[in-house]
Amino acid sequence: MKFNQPNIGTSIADIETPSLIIDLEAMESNFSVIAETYATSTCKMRQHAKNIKCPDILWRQIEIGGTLNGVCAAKVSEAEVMVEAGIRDVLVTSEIVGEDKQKRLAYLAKRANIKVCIDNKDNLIALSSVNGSIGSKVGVLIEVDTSMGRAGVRTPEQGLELAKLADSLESVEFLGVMSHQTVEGFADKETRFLEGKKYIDRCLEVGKAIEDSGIEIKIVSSGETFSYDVAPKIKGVTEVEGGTYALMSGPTAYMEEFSLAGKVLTTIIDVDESQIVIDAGIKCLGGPLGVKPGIEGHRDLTFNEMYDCYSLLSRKGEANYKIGDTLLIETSQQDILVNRWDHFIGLRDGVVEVVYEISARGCHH
Amino acid sequence: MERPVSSPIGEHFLTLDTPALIVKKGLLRTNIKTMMADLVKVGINLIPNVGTHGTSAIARTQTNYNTKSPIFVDTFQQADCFLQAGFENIIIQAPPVGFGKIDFLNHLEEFQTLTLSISNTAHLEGLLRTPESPISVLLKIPNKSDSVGIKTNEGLITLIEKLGSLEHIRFEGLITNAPSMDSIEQACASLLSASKYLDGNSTPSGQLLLNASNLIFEDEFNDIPKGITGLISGTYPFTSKTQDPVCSIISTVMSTPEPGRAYIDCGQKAISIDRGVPSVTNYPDATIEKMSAEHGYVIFDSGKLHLQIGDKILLSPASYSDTFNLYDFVNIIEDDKLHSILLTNSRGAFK
Repeated sequence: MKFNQPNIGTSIADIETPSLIIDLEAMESNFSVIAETYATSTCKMRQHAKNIKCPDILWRQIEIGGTLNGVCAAKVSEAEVMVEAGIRDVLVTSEIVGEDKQKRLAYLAKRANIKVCIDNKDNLIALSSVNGSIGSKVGVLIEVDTSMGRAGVRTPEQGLELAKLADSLESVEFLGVMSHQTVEGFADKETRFLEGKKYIDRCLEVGKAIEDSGIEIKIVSSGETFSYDVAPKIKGVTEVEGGTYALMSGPTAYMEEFSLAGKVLTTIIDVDESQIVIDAGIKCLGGPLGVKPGIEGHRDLTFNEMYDCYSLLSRKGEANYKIGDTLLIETSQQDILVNRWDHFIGLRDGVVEVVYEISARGCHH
Repeated sequence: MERPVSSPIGEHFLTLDTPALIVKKGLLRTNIKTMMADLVKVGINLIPNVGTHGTSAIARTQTNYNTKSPIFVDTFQQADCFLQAGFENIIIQAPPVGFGKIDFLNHLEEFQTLTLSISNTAHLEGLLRTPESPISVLLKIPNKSDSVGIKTNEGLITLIEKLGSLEHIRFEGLITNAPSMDSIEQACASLLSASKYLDGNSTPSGQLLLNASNLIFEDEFNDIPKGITGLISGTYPFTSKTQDPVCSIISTVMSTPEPGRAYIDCGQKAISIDRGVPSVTNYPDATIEKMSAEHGYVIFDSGKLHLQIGDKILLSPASYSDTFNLYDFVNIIEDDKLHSILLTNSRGAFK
């Protein structure tokens, strides 16, 4: 192949574009925020692998601190990549359906501490049966829908019924409850605390109903980047599933303690008085339903049209843009974008320090 | 990389590990053959935009119906992937900007023919650094909705004159993009106007290529004005001309938390919603409400339909190009059985 990744020590000026880059200093700063926040807390971060899909980077957070030495994964295949990279504690945050996938999960549980979410009795029985057939045991957490209208039990009664069943089955270990929630738009700290606590309390309510019945709750896994500092202050939450904070993205820029670390390096390939054309388009950036990224340090440029492999940007002002100039694109949909790339180029002071393989890219099974 | 549970060739397609990208072989071949024949009738060459699917085996099926046809790609890295797959005649949409692209051009084999699309003298200056590589050039003409291109007729003449002074560069013709149906008429008019101006200045305009993947159907081709010599298109192999979809994503219901709602294992990482949410094709009463990164939300009338955990949902993507870009493999289906598995060679080749 003639378009290899850059060598270590290459200057940013010599990186072929478009390329997905990480500002290592910014990412490590983000990881340090987590380490400090959770340093004295019994609640710990369980970083979500779905955002960065790169075990090397997940290991960096574990090394820097604040975590319980484990991660989340969205899918079975993503969990496999994490276990293969030596991470021995993985929570799969989706329900896993079908004998083939449940078997993969069960075998993975022979190699690592594997937990998975459930919200349905039949699926739970099938999961236990598959584990029993191969002499394995997987941990289960009941997913609670707190606000998003997706998978998960809706009421404490539903949760209790499922917990009783899980507790009675031999080949699964009932561990607790989990939930995921979001906050819309720009959210100040007060909003984050109010909204975050409101949702997490709904998850805890299900946990309490289960505990009141005499079944032990070992894990309450709730909270995410927007509530990373809310969740550990709520009694009963044992772990937080943050992912976005590692690289951040435009829509979450209101959290000023975190820095934007993931960007796409692009080159201007055409220019006129009113527009410029860059060599990055929808295929490498994503742009679900009109969500468009920004350009770092160039507020005079706005995305106008995005095509497969190039984009048109409107320009205002007198800046002198030339063909061959490079720009940094601030990502708007971080994990959608990362899933399209095979490598991160890690830069420090404008020089390539590391090339990370995004080894869980495409792991949607 | 994708990690599906492998299914043996011959298995029913609904047993594939989900989410899975499938293409029906018979319909694909019919579409390719029909499009080719329809364009021959109106005297226009069909140039397959293989960047849409990035799959060399499908590209080979497309060029088998016209062995002299070049293929069209978006990027130099895509061209590299297809050169390695044995294709020798490629048009690249991106201009030669960046040292890696110039280096790529300097290492072409003698039997490889590349045609580049350029729109200004800065692009031409890049080609001055490739003196040993015979390269053909198309000049890009702007249209109403696409500012990329040479803005004035004088600028066009100037570039052609400069091209004439370079021994290793051959002027091939003019090209314009028509990214939507609305822009096709204007795009054709721009091409023909530029061509007329060149003719008036005793300069042959060469090929006139229209890059318009939206044109699919025979009656639409009759509206293409005389003089346009080639149509570049990428979606025609997959665009269904019948009720039966050619290309789908298979997904599985993994939660049914409320009546009338199902949650599936296919989200934005497995089907692109960049140009709209997909449609459900095997349950007429079900629709996609929205999609998160990992999952899709299906809504339906629970009085008419009873979806259960494990049920398979077939999704038709709003954009084939963006969706192929998310997969490493394409499952080819014949008679509802897995016929073969193809690699998407140029997936992720953004450079």
